[in-house]
Amino acid sequence: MSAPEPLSGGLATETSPIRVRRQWDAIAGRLQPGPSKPMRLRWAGGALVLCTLVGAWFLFRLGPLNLPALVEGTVVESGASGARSVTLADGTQLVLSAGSRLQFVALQPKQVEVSIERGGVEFDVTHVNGRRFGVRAGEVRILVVGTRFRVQVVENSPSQPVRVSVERGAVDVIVDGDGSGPLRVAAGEAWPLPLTVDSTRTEARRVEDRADAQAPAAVEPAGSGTPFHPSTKSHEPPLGEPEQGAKELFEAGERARSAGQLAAAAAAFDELRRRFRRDGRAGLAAFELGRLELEQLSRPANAARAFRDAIALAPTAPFREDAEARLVQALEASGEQSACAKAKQGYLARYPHGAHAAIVVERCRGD
Amino acid sequence: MVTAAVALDHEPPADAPSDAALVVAAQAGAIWAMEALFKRHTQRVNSLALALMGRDSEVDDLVQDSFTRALQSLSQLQVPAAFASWLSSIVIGTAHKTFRRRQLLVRLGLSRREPVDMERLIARTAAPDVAAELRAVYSVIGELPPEARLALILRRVEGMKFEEIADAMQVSLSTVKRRLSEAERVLDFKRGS
Repeated sequence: MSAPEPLSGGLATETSPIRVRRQWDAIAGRLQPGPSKPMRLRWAGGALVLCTLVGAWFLFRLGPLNLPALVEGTVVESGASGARSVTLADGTQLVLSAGSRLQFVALQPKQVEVSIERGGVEFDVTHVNGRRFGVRAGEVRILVVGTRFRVQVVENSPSQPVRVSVERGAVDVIVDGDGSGPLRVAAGEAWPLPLTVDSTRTEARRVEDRADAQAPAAVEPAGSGTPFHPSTKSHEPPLGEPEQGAKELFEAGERARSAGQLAAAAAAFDELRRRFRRDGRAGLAAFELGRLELEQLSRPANAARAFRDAIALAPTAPFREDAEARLVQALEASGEQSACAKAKQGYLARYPHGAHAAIVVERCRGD
Repeated sequence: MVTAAVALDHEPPADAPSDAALVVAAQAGAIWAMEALFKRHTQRVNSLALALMGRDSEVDDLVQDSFTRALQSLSQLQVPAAFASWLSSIVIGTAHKTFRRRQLLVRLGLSRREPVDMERLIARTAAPDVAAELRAVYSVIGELPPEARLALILRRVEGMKFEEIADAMQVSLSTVKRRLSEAERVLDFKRGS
């Protein structure tokens, strides 16, 4: 398989003559032969460091938490007035909110199973190859890969609701007695299901419907002859179906662009962002579409709409700043002075010291 | 061998001594030859070090440790002309040790993971798509085991082939693919979120 294009040229490598000289001076100094330490001293030093590390481990891990050594069956409880945290050897951290109680049902190298008996626990799970990390809360089981999420059991509720919210990564939620398989809950999503098994799928679908409704509507351009195709409905496949189409479209767009087929590339990115609005690539596809429209196809009005869509689809994406800067550029090029000035103000307010600030500040000055 | 990593910073003038000649002189203890090797390769090693560490403040240590180790063990270099790729594998090996040491300290609670400062890491002149890809890669490296982190950076940032990564990390091709797969999965999760 061919290697991808290197990105290292985009890194801010600094090799000033002063730095190179400083580095060489340090190296040259270490190349000079010096008195070597006797071997016994080295071993003694190593042993001292080891003892310090082991001592520190016991001090920081066990001492302040006043926990017994964690073994299967260990119960951890937080007081009514304060939270409590537990850190496993692999760095996985569990934070129990006040009044919570959990038990380590399994604590093996290949399997960890935590049962939450009451309260809420926030998990930051370190991924370990080949290990299954599961959490049980009532009839709900959550399977984890490596992520940050929270599970809350609400007591004294007729339906005993369990709430799962995922901050990073994703989890699979399984409800006992529900034969339809695990339900994937991704970062930023929540799963507020009552423990009534019969209603699980209905509720899950409701979660999906809500998410669909919340997905930003496509920003459509005016005019014809553009690669945009107005649509007001998401065509994303229903829950459970693989989202191969989005991946393939993105790859097709990349391939077409590499081959110089710019209109085809724009069409592929456009189709992706229209049909798979909840896919992780949709925002980037809209961004790439905007770049093509602005820089290659000389259609700044379309570009502006694509950049707006990119920002709406992926408001926290790493390329947001670039999208906002290019939106200003596109609006200026399309003669939309008022909108340009507004976008410019927005960029400068959000990124006063941004990478494009010096250029953005010079744009749409005629307004 | 690591063909992608052997490119010189700048091709030396035709009349300049070759790497092999400099290595032979350095093996004989000539400090000037060591300095010439350092100057010839420092740009690329600094770039590789920044890519691996993700933080400019850690570049000097890695560059100095790697060159010191390389120049002190020149006698082990069997093919003097292969100095560049050999040096790269030393840089990668040294970075690997640093990551593992850091991981141990984190597990012991004596250190904590520090996020990458994207604004400092990524050049302002970087194309937006390159910058976006770099941000995506460096936003997940803290969550990866050292081996997967190295494999991901060598593949995505340095653009190395699987075989080159295997050579540089001194592991099998299948191991490289497995580690990359692990890293890509985390990357996909991040992108998906």
